[in-house]
Amino acid sequence: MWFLPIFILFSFNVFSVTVDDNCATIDHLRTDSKMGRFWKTPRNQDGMGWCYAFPAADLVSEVINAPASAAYMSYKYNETAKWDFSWIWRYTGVPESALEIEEGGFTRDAVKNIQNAGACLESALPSESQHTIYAHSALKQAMQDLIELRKIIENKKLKRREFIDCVECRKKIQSQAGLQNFFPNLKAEELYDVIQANSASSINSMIHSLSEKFCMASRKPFPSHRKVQIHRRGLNSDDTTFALIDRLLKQKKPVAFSTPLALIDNTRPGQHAMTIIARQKRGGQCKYLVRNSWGRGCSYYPVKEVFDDCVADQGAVWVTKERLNLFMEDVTYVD
Amino acid sequence: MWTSLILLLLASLPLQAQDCLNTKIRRQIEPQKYQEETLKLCDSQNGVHFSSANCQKIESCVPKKEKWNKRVIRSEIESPGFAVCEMTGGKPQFIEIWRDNDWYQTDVCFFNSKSFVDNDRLYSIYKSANP
Repeated sequence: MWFLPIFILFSFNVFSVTVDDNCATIDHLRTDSKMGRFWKTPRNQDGMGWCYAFPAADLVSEVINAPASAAYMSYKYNETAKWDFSWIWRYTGVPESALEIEEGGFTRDAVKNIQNAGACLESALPSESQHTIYAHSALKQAMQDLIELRKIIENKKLKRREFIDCVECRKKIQSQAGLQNFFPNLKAEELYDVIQANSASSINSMIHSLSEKFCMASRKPFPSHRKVQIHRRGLNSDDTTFALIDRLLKQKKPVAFSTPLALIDNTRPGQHAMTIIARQKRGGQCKYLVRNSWGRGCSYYPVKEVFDDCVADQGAVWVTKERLNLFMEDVTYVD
Repeated sequence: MWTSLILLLLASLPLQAQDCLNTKIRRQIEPQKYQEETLKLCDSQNGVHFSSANCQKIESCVPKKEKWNKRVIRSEIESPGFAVCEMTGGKPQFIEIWRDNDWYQTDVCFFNSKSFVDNDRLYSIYKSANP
């Protein structure tokens, strides 16, 4: 009789991860005729803490069947965020805005934020290609310029025309190391209207309002029948997650997840967010293709197992089911 | 001995030439303004890493490691390649490379307008210097 409880535990597979013995290839996203290129192109979050926005954009891109702007999702998220635990050491150099800036976030909330308003296309507000300099420095500069421009308008009581003619203002607006880096071809009159409308708002609100202007023309509705869901799990907790992931991948849906960086980089602390986009049996092991936002290449992955099965040209890595199970936290998806 | 040295040298020449090819690249020089040019691009490790021809010997482009700004990479919140590029005093940038009849996007670190190394290669150098 003593062995009965142990037998029951094994029967319900409490101690181990059930391996789908077949682990047949599921690779619908990368082979899609319209969006395949998007899923195979490396994403790069640059110097910004918007890793969560890239998986969020992946989820939304599948829904709208077009590349969604990760930058827009981050600006919208920041606008609604009320606090940030990390501002003290990151933004002490930015006067007035320190309390208002947000880096880091949650994929599910980022998707939820755009469900009603609709998604913004990557082509309208690029998350990567416009960055001609280190984006983190550029964002700091852009925020400082916004603060100063608002002060100039207030102190000099500038009217719209006067603001457009203001040489000092134009210099800041046209700065490629600042505002232009995020909002290409931003016009003085557009900025004046945004500043006036946000005279008492946070810098994040101003940045969000600017992004809305850029996205207005290309807004894509988010179908009401599609809902963002979260599957909460502890590390190394259970196997039900993989049944869910497999089901979603079979339905051509990407799966976002949060994880300690240790999944891919055991030399640095911290949290990260990425997207699972395919499954395949490789070298006798069942592996999932994890799309990262660190650009092309493999040298970012000190974990040998990850480095050895990295898809350099796609900014993605194949990770074993066992390793994913050890490190994967909450899973976010759109059903 | 001399004969074998000369033979070795001759044998290595075509390989060197094959590694560097005239390649069309496109990059943004101002917001929404692109510049297209043909540069000699050098592949290494079967195309995993690449650089401009003058940076094939990495030491001729990347500042000496001891001169690198030793700021810590901000853990999870940034792309490591961009962070290391900034650390070396370079300018990280996305460029597009014309390969197999298509534009292919990647990120590199520019040291001046004609000298660049892909960020992945730069990071691997950083990593070997900071094990």
